[in-house]
Formats: sequence, structure tokens, C-alpha cells
Amino acid sequence: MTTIKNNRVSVSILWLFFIIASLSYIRSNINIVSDIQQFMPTDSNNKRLQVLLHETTKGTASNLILVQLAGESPEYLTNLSKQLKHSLLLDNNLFESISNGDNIDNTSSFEPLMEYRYLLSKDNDFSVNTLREHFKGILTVLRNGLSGEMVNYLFLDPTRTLASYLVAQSKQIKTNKVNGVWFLSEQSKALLTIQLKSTGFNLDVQQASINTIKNTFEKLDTKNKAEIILSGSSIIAVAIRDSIMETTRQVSWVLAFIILLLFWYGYRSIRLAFVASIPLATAIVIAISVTQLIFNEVHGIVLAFGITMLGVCLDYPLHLFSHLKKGESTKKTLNKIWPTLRLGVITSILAYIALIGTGFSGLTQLAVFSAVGLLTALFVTRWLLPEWVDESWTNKRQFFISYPLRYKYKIILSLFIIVLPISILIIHQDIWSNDISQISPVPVDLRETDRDLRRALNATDLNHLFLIEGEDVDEVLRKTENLTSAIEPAIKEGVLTGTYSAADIFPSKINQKRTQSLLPNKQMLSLNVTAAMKGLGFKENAFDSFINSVAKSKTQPTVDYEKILLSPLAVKLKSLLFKQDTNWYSIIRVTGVNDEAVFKAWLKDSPNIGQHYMSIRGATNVLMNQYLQSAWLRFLGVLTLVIFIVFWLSHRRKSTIWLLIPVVAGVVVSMTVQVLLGHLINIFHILSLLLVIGMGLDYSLFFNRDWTSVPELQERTHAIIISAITTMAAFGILGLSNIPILSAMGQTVSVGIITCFVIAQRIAVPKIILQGNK
Amino acid sequence: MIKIFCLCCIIFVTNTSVAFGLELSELLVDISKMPEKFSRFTETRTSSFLSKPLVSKGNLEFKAPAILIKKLISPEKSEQRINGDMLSITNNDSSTQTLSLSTYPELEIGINAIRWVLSGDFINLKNSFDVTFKEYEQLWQLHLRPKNIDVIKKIKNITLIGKGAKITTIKIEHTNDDSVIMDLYDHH
Repeated sequence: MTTIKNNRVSVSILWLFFIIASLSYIRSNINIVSDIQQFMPTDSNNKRLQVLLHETTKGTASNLILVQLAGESPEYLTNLSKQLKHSLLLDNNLFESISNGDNIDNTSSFEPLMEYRYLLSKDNDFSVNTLREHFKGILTVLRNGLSGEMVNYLFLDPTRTLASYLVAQSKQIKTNKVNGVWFLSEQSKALLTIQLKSTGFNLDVQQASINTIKNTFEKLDTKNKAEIILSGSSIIAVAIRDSIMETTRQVSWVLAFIILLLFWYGYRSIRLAFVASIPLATAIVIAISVTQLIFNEVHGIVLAFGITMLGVCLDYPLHLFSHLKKGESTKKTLNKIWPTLRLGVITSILAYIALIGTGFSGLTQLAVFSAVGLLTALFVTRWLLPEWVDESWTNKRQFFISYPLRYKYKIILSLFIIVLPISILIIHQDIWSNDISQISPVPVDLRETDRDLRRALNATDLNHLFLIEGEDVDEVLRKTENLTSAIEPAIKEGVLTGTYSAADIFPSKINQKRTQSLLPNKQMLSLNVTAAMKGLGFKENAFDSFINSVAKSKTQPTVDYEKILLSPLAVKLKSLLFKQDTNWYSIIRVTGVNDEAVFKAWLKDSPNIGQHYMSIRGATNVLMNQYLQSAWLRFLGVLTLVIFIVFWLSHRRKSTIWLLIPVVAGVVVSMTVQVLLGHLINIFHILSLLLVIGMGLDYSLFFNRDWTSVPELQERTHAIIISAITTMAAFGILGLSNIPILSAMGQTVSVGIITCFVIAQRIAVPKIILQGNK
Repeated sequence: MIKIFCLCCIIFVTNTSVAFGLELSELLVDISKMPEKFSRFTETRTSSFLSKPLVSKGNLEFKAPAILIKKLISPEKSEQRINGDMLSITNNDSSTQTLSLSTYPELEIGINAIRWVLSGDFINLKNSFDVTFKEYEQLWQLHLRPKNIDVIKKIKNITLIGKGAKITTIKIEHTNDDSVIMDLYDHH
């Protein structure tokens, strides 16, 4: 007795030591990332697509927040928009820039560009007639009452070169303006864009920025009637985190309640419920630690998906508890079920290991996470639980059991449950989803709000664009200018209405020098100015600062990338011209493609232009097709491996087929239900099917264990019923989630599990050795 | 003795400001009695960039509390409409430009001074300016010196001269010696 107690204490101390060590390691080292690219093929040949995806998910665009103000009169919303912009700009730590349409009014923020205006502008006209028109315009401005710095600015830049340059930079935003600020066309919603400072995708910093925006809005909305709607990658990321946490919390509570209820009813013991959670909890902690140790990070999806997949670990103690009987030690009971338990776990582990080396770094992480978790749970169940659990703790309540069908009915049921779903899948030819948005964890309503705002602000429409690559900024700019010139004939033909690129903000050195060489010398400009101002009432030296500015521009060095970054155009420039690894990339955006067929035909006829063309939607669709094909083949590979392992390790090879039918049925039925619900199969459905394989095989193995008495059959049915109910409950709730990944996972697993359970029970072929009456 | 002197000073100072406050506020109440006002104007603008003053003529219209419309008739037509914080300028060629007054504090302060006087907003005037009010014969003069440190670097003084409830002259003096004098007449 003392030995047992000593063992229990030492085992407990050892377990506690590992748990505390792992938790400390996790606490100080955990690095959770949420980059969907890790679930994309890393060995993809489409490097250019990866560059664009990286730019949209991690670049400047990822820190852009789109804001809608609604629910009040246009006048009220206009003032609110301005006050919000003004107040937020005071917080320099969080916000890089804020635009609401009135930023060009404030020329002082563009001061860094002032001295370069004649090199940045493409159309400098200093003829006498043009100058005279501009000078007359200054008199009009003076009569209109403008004064102070604005007037000084006009005498420094009478041709309004900087203002025209800045207006050209906002030409791609066609949004309506009411009282100088952006509005949606119906004038009921004011629009702003807020660029966060680079957060390195730190969700806590993004959350702080979002809270600041909301709190500032609430303070400024004195009427308390206006509403603020935020969108953008960071908003979506934070919303998803909150939504996943909320769903997880709900699932945890419901699951905990159901587990307690089932243990109370099924085992008449609440204490066992807590013991049952030990292998699962240990598995999660150790899996996170090992994954972090190997990869230096844990992907958010791996965490969510991996923990869910480890839900199967709850079954191991269930099998043990349901097989416990008075007068038989826990260790002895465990030894009896050990071969079956081991076969199920090893098969699952090998299946997950098969995911390693797929070329998807996210899947490799998921494989390691799941394999380590399963192994840990098996270890805890095998060597630790028997030390803690006493056989007297359980007093099972027997459940209703149904016996396996007769042989011919087994064949009919098997054919029906496999052939029918497969036929349905074949009839629905197009069952695969190649839409990248389907694997995005973003709820549909959030995605639609974001799309509407982006459309209104023309923020980033990456459907049609040209991508240019080069070794340095100037090389990329030159190529961009050349390509833009090559596209111009198509604009004249009406194939598209225009282009917009970094070269519009920032010409290449060669073009700047060409512009510079065309500037008049000081003497010639002085003569033109004198002639132009004749009779208008200006003092002789009124435009001396202007003449000196042009003269200075004639000899000054060209503008470089860093200079532009000092101005409010930095955000726009960085989204169009950026560096990744060692290369520089430039994006030419296209507007006004009304006829896709004509556009595509033009691209086909212009191979020199077409080679730079990119459509993120098109390219990702192709990529997703390849990805799904590859993932599906890998999944079939895993299934084949499972079949092979089961066949190899099973002691009754002739009946292996009956072990596998429930697993296959679970897979095809859950896929068919998804298709019949109108969903297309995506990568997360396929990953969820791995869990169906794992749990289905577990049920199948236990139902097919030899039994010698009806109580023995009742024991295994008892464990599997409890397992199936808890799994169904957890995944059923997930299936109702509005997050696509979670609902795909929930629906697939719950349908798959119930199918596996029913089929495994009805077609099992255990060797029945009854000791007594049949 | 000293105590009595101090007490006298306090009484004198208090009485003066009370008397001054009442006189100006009474005038502002009189001015604000007409919620809509219209007058013709001649504006003379001097600038360090101009060799001779720029003269223009037009109409000035005010609708309490915040709409001010300035229409130029000669030498060329244009219209400035100020509503709240927004200034819309429509030029001779019908092109319109919209500005936010808060972006241009030196422009905003001049316009607000006129709007607050016309709408009788004594509190805003006192908050934004050091106010000096004088009366002589039948005329009065309201001298406004901006309190905002940034504005005072650009606007030296704003002076309004009037007779009874009518404003006859508005003068804005800039720190760079530029000035605008607007003579108002034909009030109704």
C-alpha cells in the first residue's frame, strides 16, 4: 500500500515538474503568428504572387484602417471626420497618417517636397502667357480674402506646381466629397483612412490603436447618435481573435458542462472527469512547448486546429474508465486494452507524420504538434493514470447497446454508406473551392464591409496590376515608366482608362534630369515674369523667390526615395514601390477595365506587357487549385498509409476491411454533407478529415476487439458513446460559428464522427467468445 | 491707508470692467437683433507684394449664427460662402474650392470676429481676443487683439468701427504690414 502511495507521489511530482517547466517555457518564449501564407505552398514557383500576397498581408496595406462615420447629418459627420482626424493625429505613437479628403488643403505637411516640386512635376510651363494667367489668379485669390502663409506660398509657387502635383496623386480616389471630406455616394457616410504605424502584426498594438480610435470618436460624438464602422486587415485580425476566443470560450463551457454531466451519469463520478482531462491538458502543454522549441513560433491556426485534433486524447482515459471493473487493478485493465489503444494512436501519429515535408510549413507544424500531443497523451494514459486512478472510483451506468448486423446486412449497409455519397460527389463535379477567401478566417459580413469601403476609396484593388522587379529603386522606376508608356496606346484605344504607379509620385533619375534640363535659366525666367506681370499691380520683386526657386531646381540633385518618405505620400509610395528581401518591386495599378475579354486579348497580343501582368484573384485561384490537389493527394496518401498500418499491425488481417469501412464512410459522408449544404471543399475540410480518420479508427478498433461477454461489449460501447457525444457537442457548436474555418471544421468532424460511430458499431466483426448463453 | 488704497483700486477696477462689459454686450445685443443682414462694401487691400492697393466691390450677407456670404461684383465676380467651418469659393469660371477654416487659423480668426460681432456672441469674442471698446461722439470702435499665440504672429489687430447697431468699417492688420479695410454701406 505504501509502495503504491510512494509511486503515486513520485509520479505526481515528476508530472508536475514537467508541466511547470513547460508552462514557464511557454510563458517566456511563446510566439504566436497568424500568417495564412504558412498554409500556402512554400515551394510555389509563383514568386511574384508570393511577393504580392506578402505585401497585402504584411506590407503597408495591412496596417490601413478604413473608417465609416454614419447615422447623422452630412454637416455633423463632416465636422466629426475633421475633429477625429485632428485629435488622432495628436497621438503620434500609434498613427502614421490619417486621410479624409482634405489633406491636400494643408500644404505645410508637404513642405519636404516643396524644394523638389519642379523636378517632381512633369508639366512645367513658364511661358509669358501661362505665367500671366497664374498671376491674375493670384489677384483673384487676394480679392477673395486669403492671406498670410497662403499668399506667401502663392508668390513662391505662382504656377501652383506643388498643388497640381498633389492633386494628381489623389486622382485615383474618385470618392465624393461633401464640404471637403470623403463621403459615400449617398452622402450618408463619411469616410476616412487611418494608417497605423508599423505594428509587426502585433495584435495587442493593433487592438490599442482601434480602442484609441473608438474612444476618441465617442468623446467627439457629442450627440451620441453617430456610429463608427471600422474595417481593414488589422480590424479583421482583432475581430477574428476575439471571435475565436469567444467561440472557444463557449465551446469550453458547453463541453465542460457536457463532460461533467456525462461523467456524473455514465460513471457516477465527477472526480473521473477531472482525471480524464489530465492526458489532454498535458498533451496540449507539451505539444505547444515542443512546437515552439522546434519552429521558434506557433501558428494560430496550428494552435486552434491542433488543440481540437488533440480532443481525441480524451478518449484514451474514457476507454480505461469504461473497462475498469471491481476486483481488477487499473494497471491490469489498461494492459488488456493497451494493444488496441496503441494501434489507434500509432496509426494516427504515423498519419500526421506523413504531413511533414509536404512543402506547407503550417502543415508541418500541425503534424509535429499533433504527433507530440498524441504521444504525450498516450504516455500519460499508459504510465501515469494507473497510478492515480483506483478501480473503485467507477460505478458505470450501463447504456443501451446495439449488436453488429448480420453479415449480409453489413455488406448492404457498407455499400450504401460508401457508394451513395461517392455517387453524389461525382455528380457534383465542381466540389473544390479555389477561392482564397474561403480559407480566410474572416466572417462574411466583415469581408463585405471591407470590400465596400475599399471599393469606395479605391484603396487596393489588386485584381488587375503589373508587377515590375529590379535590383534598385531607380532601375524599377525606369522599368515602370517604360511599361507605363507602352500601356498608353491601350488607354487611347479604350481598353483601360488609366494607370497609376510609383513613377507618378516619384520619377526616375533620368526623367528628373530631363525635366531639369527643360527648366528655363534665371535670366530667361526673369524676362518672362517681368513681361507677364506688366500692368497687374505687382511690385517688381514680388516673384523673386519663385525665380530663385526655379533657378535652384536647375542645378539641385535629384529627389531620392527617402525624401518622399518624409512627406504624407510615404504610405502611398510604400504600397506601390517596396523592397522584399534583396529586390525592389513596383506595382502599376490599372483603372477602368470594363471589358475583361478585350483586356485579356490585348495582353495576349502584347507579350512584352503581358509578362508583367498579375491578377491576384486569378493567380491565387490557380494556386489554390494546385494546393487543394496536392493536399487531397496527401490526404489520400495518409489514408492509404493508415490502411497499410492497420493491415500490418492488426492481428486479424482478413477482417481489416471491416475496420476501415467506418473510417472511409466517415470521410465520404462528411464531404457529401458539405457539398449538399452548398459548401465547396477547402483545405480546412481536408485537415478536419484527418481528425475523422483518427477518431473513426479509434472507434472501429475498439468495436472490433474480441469480446467474451455482453458486459465486455457494454464497456467499450460505454466509452465510445461518451467520446462520441462529447466530440459531437464540441464540434456541433463550432459548426455554427460564423468563422469559415471553424464552421468547416465543426461540421466536417461532427458529421464524420457520428457516421464512424454508427457504422463502426453496426458492421464490427469482433470475435465473440461467449462464456455461457449466447 | 494702504489697505484703503488697495480697496479703492479693487472697486475701481471691478466697476470699470463691469461697466465696459455691459456697454459692449448691450451693443452686441442691438447688433444681433437682426438675424439677417445685408450691406454693400468696398474693400481695399494692401500687400507687400503689390505696388498699389487692390480695390474690389461687392455685397456682404450674414445669416445668424454662422453663414457669411461675400459676393464680389467688380473687378470680377466671385462668391465666398462660409458655413460653420467650411469656406467655399466659387470663382468667375464657376470652379469651386472648399477649405476648412480650422486649417487656416489666420483666416478663421478674421471671419469669426465678424460673425461673432454680427451674432452678438460676447463670450466667444472675450475668449479669443483681448477686447478694447471705445465710444466717441456717435461712433464706436471695437479693437480685437487675438489671444492665440500662433495667430498673433500673423494677425496684429482686427478693428470694427460702427454707428449704432451698424458696422461701417472692418480693418484687419497683419504683422507683415499687409492690411484689409472693408467699408460697409447701404445696410438693410
